[in-house]
Amino acid sequence: MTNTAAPARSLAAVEGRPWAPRSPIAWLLAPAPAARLALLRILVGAYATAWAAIRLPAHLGHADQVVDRWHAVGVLAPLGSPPADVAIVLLAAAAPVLGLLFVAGWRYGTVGPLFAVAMLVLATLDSAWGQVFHTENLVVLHLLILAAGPAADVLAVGRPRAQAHATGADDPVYHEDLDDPGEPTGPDGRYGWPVRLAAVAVVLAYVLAGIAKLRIGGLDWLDGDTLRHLVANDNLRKALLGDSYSPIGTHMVGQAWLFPPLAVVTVVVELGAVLALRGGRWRTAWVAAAWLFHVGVLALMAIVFPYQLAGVAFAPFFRLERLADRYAGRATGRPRARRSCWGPVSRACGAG
Amino acid sequence: MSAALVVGVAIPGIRTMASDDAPDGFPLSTYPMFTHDPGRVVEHPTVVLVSPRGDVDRLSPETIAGTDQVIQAGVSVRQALDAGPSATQALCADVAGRVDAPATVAVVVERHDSVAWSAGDREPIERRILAACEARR
Repeated sequence: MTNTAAPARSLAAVEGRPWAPRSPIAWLLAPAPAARLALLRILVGAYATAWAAIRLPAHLGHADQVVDRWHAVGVLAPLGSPPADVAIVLLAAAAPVLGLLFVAGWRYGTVGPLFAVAMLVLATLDSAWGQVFHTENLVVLHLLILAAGPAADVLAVGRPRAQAHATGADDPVYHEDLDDPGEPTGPDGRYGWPVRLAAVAVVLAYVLAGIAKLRIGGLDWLDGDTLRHLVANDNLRKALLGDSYSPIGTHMVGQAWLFPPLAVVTVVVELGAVLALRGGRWRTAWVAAAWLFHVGVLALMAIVFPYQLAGVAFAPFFRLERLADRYAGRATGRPRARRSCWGPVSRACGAG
Repeated sequence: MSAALVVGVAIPGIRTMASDDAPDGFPLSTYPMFTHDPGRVVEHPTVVLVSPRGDVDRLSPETIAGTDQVIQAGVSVRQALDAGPSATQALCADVAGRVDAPATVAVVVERHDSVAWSAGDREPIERRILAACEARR
């Protein structure tokens, strides 16, 4: 990872777009900085750790569930009855601890898969009592993807701090005090595919939801009646079962004219997820629209998608290494990496 | 590895394309929620508390099914109804054991016009009582 006088493509150019004139596989495997993947590990891991800690009482409560209600899905489907109580308690208690180690990047080769599997089983356990939840799909998929990649090569316990070439900021001044200049953490395809695959998982989730509405509900779904009835029914069900419901939603149901445009916007946002892979303004616009969509779901139906509302679900669409650049700049008092390193090729930046 | 994960992520899409009734799963979902029109008039099973004066009070998901998840509480009631009168009565007794009040616990099915309910008409079109038991401790 040295600077060369020869013209080289910027990392941004190397990464490109999925529909650039090369194969999607080449796009998926294009190089990315190690810090991007590491920061995704930290963000997703921190969210999942908080989730496992906050949900600990509910997870422990699975041990007290009536066995007759067991209706397993996913990886638990082969089980004819719930896991032993002691296994549930151990799993629920271990998950937040594993999560902290995951965030720290400690012994990642072991902890990464362990935490991902623990979260997979815990979240599947939540959905094993007759109702499949859809709020944790993406965080579990992201953890599984992260566990399969080298997400703790930097920004991890026992590893060098985010290095200039790891973040893509290959400024020579940063090389003066590298802990381990030989550490192979420059931009590489092995750091790129997990992040892009995580982004693809997000896109597929939304697109599938949009396709399902049109396939099952048909074009009638767009006339707004279905959405209006869904909002009314969901709030009614919550009220009848003693839960809090959305007063905004119940008020809005009376405004029938609002629902046709809301239905169209819903499907457009879901099917439009593919635009996020274009990057730039398209990505930012779609992420903003998707986030507002979830704010709308919360307002109308009191349904919380915390992973999306926290913004972590959309992290794979962004160049997270810039966060490390800022951190490095503040910690050392040195100027942070120049943005130009991601734009047109400059001699100081190189191609990674 | 990446190819295997891509295939794994794509499986629900293939299932969704293949069948409208593709079963849901976790974490690979076909996202069937919010696809069907439930209609304006709907029926929901639940468990309520009926005071000696006949007033109906709602019970929490925790009291109904020992869960903080409202949908799972509803599913629990539905499963008991589907299992027959003895399971329904057992649910009633189970809930009554968690209620500390001089009242009657009733497993019911309520029919509502959801749009009218949203507008403030909270009384059901119909309420069928399928099991009842005393909650007095």
